[in-house]
Amino acid sequence: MNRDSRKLLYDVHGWAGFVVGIALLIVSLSGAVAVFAPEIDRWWNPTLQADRDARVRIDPDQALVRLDRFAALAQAGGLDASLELPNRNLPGRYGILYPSAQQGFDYAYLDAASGELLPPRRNHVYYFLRHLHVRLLYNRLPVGIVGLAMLLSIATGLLIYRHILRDMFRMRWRRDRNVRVTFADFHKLVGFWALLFHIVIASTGTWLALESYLQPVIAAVANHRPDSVDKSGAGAAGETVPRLAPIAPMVARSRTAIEGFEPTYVTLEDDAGRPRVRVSGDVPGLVQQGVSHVLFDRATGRLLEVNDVRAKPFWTQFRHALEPIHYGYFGGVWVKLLYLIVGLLPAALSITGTLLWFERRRHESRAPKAMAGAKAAV
Amino acid sequence: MMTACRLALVLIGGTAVALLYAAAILRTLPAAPDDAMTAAGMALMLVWPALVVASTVPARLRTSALFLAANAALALLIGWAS
Repeated sequence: MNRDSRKLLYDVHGWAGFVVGIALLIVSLSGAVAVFAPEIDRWWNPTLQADRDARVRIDPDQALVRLDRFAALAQAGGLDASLELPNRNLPGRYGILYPSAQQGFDYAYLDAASGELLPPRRNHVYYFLRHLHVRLLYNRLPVGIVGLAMLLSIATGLLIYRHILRDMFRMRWRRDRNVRVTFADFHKLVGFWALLFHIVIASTGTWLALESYLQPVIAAVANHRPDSVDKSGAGAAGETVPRLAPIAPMVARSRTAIEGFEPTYVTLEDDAGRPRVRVSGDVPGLVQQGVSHVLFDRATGRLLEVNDVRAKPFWTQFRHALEPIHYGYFGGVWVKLLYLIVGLLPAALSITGTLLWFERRRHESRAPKAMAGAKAAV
Repeated sequence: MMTACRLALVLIGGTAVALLYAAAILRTLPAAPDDAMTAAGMALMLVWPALVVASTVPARLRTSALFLAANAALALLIGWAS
């Protein structure tokens, strides 16, 4: 690699880090903290605090009757009525999302032991953290650009510091020199040892952020026509919604239909005129939350479809593995802790990288002056 | 000026070729459309920075352009030849 190429790589590495530095700092900090968002949400909202071992005495049918007003609000607002069941992230509570005049959307909660309607939550810290990380409180595009810059920084960094691969076990963090050396060593050490994690986080995160923008572009380049939607069996518009069969047996059946299944949501949906009940939930392993589901006929409670992502072809499993890989919710609290710690490193790299970039520019602007001074002295 | 030209070439050319690779994967992967799209997207995320950075390494602009053109030809071969 010649001098010009090396300089260009340095410039791209520096600018990619500097231009999106603040945004990268916010995205990585919020992302690291968001790993524990459900726990923070529970800690900050007394309404959500329940004994994990408390017995659930209210079944989903009774819960839906007591939350009926909110379910009606949800359906009037164009939402499928979706009842959150007591689960690992919401122990001892039923929840329902409904449109609210003041805040756009709100949740109503019911105590699963007493059946008592609970006071509103104090704040929406979970949604704030997710919204900040996923959309920078705006939309996904800027987050995608941050991800692209991070990918570019990783690739340029790898090429600039490729000798590090050779000296990986001999690298030292020289803290007894000046600040620049200390920062530079830290930047290289962290950048190298967390390299694989950063590649995984940046690539999955960038795709999750940009998929809605890039899908049409890739499809157009591939000359790929979208699949026609199967409308067969669709009911006529205005057809009356049939009565609802008991939900509790459906939830119980879902547990046996999929091995290790933890039902988290019951959704009353009307898919192109076919009223159904969807019991969605989580399965162990590297599978996106809420994607595995069991479908039932709304009127009869007959089982219609079982969707266990683990039994699907490899590429379907791959698609539904991206989110748990990115958010680290696949392996319990220790994996989450690891994600929290390693997830803070891009923020550290962003700060040290920006400081080094300023230092380098200062040094470059000083060098010609020093040279001119030396020549004048001679 | 030369640096700006080079940067524009590697960014625009690298992006275009990476999109070609993603489209080739979408066309050839024997998977459901949504699944193939995810695989194509992830390939794009990994190939794009690699192409952009690798095409900055050659000393001459023409070599960078040739490198990108060869990759474009390979992507076309993978996606459209069969």
